[in-house]
Amino acid sequence: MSSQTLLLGAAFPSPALALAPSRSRSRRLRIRAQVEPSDKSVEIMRKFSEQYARKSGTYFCMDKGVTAVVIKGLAEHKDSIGAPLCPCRHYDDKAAEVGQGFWNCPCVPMRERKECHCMLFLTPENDFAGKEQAITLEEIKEATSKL
Amino acid sequence: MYNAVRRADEVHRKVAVTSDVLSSSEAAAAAAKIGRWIRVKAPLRVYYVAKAPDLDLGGMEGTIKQYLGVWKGKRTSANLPFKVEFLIRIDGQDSPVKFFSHFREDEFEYVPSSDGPN
Repeated sequence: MSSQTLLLGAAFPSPALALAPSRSRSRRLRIRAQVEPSDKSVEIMRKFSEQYARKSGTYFCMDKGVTAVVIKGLAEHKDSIGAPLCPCRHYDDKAAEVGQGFWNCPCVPMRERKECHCMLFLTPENDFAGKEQAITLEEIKEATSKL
Repeated sequence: MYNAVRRADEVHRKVAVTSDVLSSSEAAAAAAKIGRWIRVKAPLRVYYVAKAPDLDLGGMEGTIKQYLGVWKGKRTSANLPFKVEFLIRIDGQDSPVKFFSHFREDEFEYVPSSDGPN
């Protein structure tokens, strides 16, 4: 939240601040394109992913980094637009997509056909499926801190 | 730098306006398909129907109930936009079981209305 307000503050620099240091400071702040999701949202999406993998009989990727990035992406969407839209897709109108819910995780292709192109939920036959249906918060933080 | 950010915002806004809103002919074409009787072309195993855990939809017939490429006049990116309703008879069930499934346009074919339900 605080980084969001900093970004907003940087977008409208006060005309009185003509000094070079403050302008370079605001330029640096604007480079941040994404806000970090809250720990609470990451935890919610982590629990959801574990539960849904068990329920659907699917497994996480053998590379847990993939799982971590997707869970974080879901949490980011949940925080920014109110619903965990699939983070691996591009949307022209996010509000319309949220309202309709096709891409709200678990998306329709996953619910009906067990097709998850994010590679979050993999059927056992999939070459990349690991053997686990669990991931800890530490694993997520470690995998995504390297980005 | 501030001007560049502003210009990027304006461009983004312009793109959003032209692609989001559907033309009335597109919306009408989508609406015309609702209610059409269709048959699924290829085999498709689904596991989510409660009373029929392992079901092959290939060759099954149903009606188009909804088109999900539009939502309140805005274009959406759903890649299985045709929501089809199926009614199937299952041993041990008194009344037919109803369920929905989503398809792409190339996954089904339109059935002439004279065929009707089996």
